[in-house]
Amino acid sequence: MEYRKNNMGIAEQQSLRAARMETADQASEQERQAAKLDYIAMMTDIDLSDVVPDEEEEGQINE
Amino acid sequence: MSTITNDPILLNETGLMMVDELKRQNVYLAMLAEGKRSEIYSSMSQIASIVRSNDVEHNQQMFPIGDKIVMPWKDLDDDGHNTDETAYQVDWNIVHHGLVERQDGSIVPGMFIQMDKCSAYGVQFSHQQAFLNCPEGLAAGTYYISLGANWGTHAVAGKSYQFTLTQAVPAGGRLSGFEGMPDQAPANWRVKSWASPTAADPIETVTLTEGTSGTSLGTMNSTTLSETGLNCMQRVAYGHNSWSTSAIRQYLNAKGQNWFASKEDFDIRPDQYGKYGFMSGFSDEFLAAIKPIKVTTALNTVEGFATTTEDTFDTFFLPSLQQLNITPQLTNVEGDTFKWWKEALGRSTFVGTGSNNVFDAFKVPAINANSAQYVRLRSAHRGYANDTWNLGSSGYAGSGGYYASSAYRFSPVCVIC
Repeated sequence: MEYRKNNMGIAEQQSLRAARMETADQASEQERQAAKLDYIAMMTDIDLSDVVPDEEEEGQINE
Repeated sequence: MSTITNDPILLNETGLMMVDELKRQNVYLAMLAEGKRSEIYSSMSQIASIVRSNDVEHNQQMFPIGDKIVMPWKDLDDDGHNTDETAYQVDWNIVHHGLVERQDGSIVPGMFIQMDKCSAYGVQFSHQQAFLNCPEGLAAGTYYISLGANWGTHAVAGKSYQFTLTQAVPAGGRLSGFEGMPDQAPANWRVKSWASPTAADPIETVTLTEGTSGTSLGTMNSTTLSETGLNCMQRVAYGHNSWSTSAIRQYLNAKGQNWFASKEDFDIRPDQYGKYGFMSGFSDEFLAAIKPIKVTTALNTVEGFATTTEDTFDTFFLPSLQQLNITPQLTNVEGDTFKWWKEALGRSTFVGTGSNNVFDAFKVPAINANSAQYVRLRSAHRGYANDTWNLGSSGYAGSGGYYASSAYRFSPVCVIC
């Protein structure tokens, strides 16, 4: 057993937790979208790097 | 020569004064130790001992609302979380202090603690109930049932449905079916025969067709039992919203397996009947610190009950609307509002239900999932026989479609007393 003293307002804790969940949800959604894109690209035999330049290429272009 | 006197060693009133003084000293110690409670409280038995020896007022100072107790919980059905090393470390919020009634009738100070997150999996509040109890068995043959009310898209008053059992139902068996009746097309309806309410699987599952062949079993009413002994449509389609007889109450208060028993004439074992009871996952020390207390729950108004509320004695229970500071359907019967929830919601008065009342505190993640879940409350939606109130994953309290037969997660409460 561990006893933990509360150091923060309860409502603030709940808001923080909800915000963290939302961020995690958004990250998961981005991962899902990326996976979906990969799948579509694979099925349609498209090289995604031709459509969306990766970060390295982007950097080179900016240079 | 010594003198023998009959004076008591300690007068009762002196003893009481000493106890009061000790309580006061305890509070002073707690105040001195402000910021060091984490080091001072080291075991559940110690915490329970302090709670039991103080009154509510002093307990509030010793154990402020918002502090947490972290206890391991083993999921004995999950190989990944069934040992001391792999157990979930579960936060319990100190949510309330108040007087509670124990089973022996004594009124004592209690410290209410509630799981900060919700459970690792869902449990049905109640399985879809049987429509016919067969205490003397039922012969194989063709039977039909008529519907007594319109409901949803597919249940139509006056229509009859026939089915044929190829095997007899033994004494003590039951017939269930018509699951999801208002929302499922009749072509999807089935009848299941059960040898007993606790049987793992039905004897057989047969289809229904519209018609009146064979023997009539009667007409099913919407919310009340029929004269021929048939259960009502709502409980048959989506389970029963009665906390006292619910499967989830049995699960929460059980240690070990085989915890389900039929409490009503039409009960069928929940889908989770094979799991270990909730209490199986806790240490004996934790279980010794918490005791069953009187829990009052409002009954639905559609079945014609003789009373409006029902009392149970529970070690673990689901919170009610009022305990979560949500406007109840029947005020001041289902327990005092927990102070923690007033603070979490930032409201000293009840908050409303429905999508206009979204609160971060109602977005409850699970101990094994960092996303908001549907969380079951024990309060019945009183206008129905099959619906309870819930916290939705969008962050508001709702009812209507939170059927008893759905296996929602839960964030239970228990009381150190």
